[in-house]
Amino acid sequence: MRCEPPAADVVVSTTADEAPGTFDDLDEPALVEACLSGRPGAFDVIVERHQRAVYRLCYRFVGNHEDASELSQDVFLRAFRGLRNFRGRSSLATWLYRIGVNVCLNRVSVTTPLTEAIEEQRHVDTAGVLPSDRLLEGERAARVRAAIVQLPRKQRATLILRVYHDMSHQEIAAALGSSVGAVKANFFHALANLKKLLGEEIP
Amino acid sequence: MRHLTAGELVDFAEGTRAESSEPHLRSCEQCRQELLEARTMLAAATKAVVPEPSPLFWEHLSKRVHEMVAAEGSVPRASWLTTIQDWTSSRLVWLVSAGTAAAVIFAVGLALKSGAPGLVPAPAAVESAATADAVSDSTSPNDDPSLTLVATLAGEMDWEGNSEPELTTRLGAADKAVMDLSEAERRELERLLKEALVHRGG
Repeated sequence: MRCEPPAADVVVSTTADEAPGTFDDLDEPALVEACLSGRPGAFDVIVERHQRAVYRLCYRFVGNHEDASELSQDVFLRAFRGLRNFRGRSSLATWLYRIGVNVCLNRVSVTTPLTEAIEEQRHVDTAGVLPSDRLLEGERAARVRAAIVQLPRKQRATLILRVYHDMSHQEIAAALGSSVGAVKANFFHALANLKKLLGEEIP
Repeated sequence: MRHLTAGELVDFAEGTRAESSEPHLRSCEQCRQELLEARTMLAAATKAVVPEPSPLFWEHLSKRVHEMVAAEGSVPRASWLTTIQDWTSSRLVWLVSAGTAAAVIFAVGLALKSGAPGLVPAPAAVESAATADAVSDSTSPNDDPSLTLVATLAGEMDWEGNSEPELTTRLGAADKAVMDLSEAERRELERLLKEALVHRGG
């Protein structure tokens, strides 16, 4: 077990981590406190708990696995650097989404393919659905995702946070630095633009 | 006729407001159509799940993040602690600077009083150096104008009074402190002491 004194600029060890499972039962505040106390294994648990949601957030922004993977790493690295600024006023997930949105919005050189690679559509969990319906649903979902990637950035961020990450309009407004009214307007225009992009594909 | 705003349409589409509460919806085909499209797109977006990557990917992502965090080299500190440390470090610079200057003055003065050999010029030399404006080019500590000025200032101090609050020093500490100063620091010390002398003279 490795326990560093708080507040010291200690080197994070990759070889002397605490035993697996040490932090599994800790709640969010305790995990954050453990990280700030210099116990690197605690941050691994944070990553494990939130990596799927963070990855999906990034994927919806950029529409491809490679960029989403890279952006997810960036989100967690920034979260680690800024962990001392986490006040606990929101959940850790909401805080990570805010970082994720900023990372994605600031990313200017991301390639955003209009269509996804076929192999990326194979892993969607559609158990119990007829193969023909599964194919149709998979294609439709891919078109919707591709359309979302084409939305203006703030509309995209608003729609993603609202629909897929269950954030309230107030939380989104705080994350994007705007008002609730602006968030609702962005959300409505995002849906209207989706309709324009998808045309009659979605009845 | 006032159409529904984007915010109102979002409230209806999400179901946070009942349509029956808005009479305009019953009479306005345009607003009804916009609401229908918003609902349709919301439902379509909700169904558009992200493809699940290979199970190995999550292990790879965790490992990669772990390596990046380890490469950072330091643990993030608590915000309150950072604030305190920033506060104290900024003031520490001032405290150390002021303390060093005071220590140098007191130490040299004490050394003069105790008659330690080879530290500063003899009182006669100090007097002449203090009255002369010329600055020596000599690199010898004994001829250093900074030391001369320090000795001049220290010469009039009340050493008995200063020793009461434990402002005494070890023999030889003064010259060591001054000799440890860089050239720039010694010039700055000289400038400050000259300013002090001018104030005293004025």
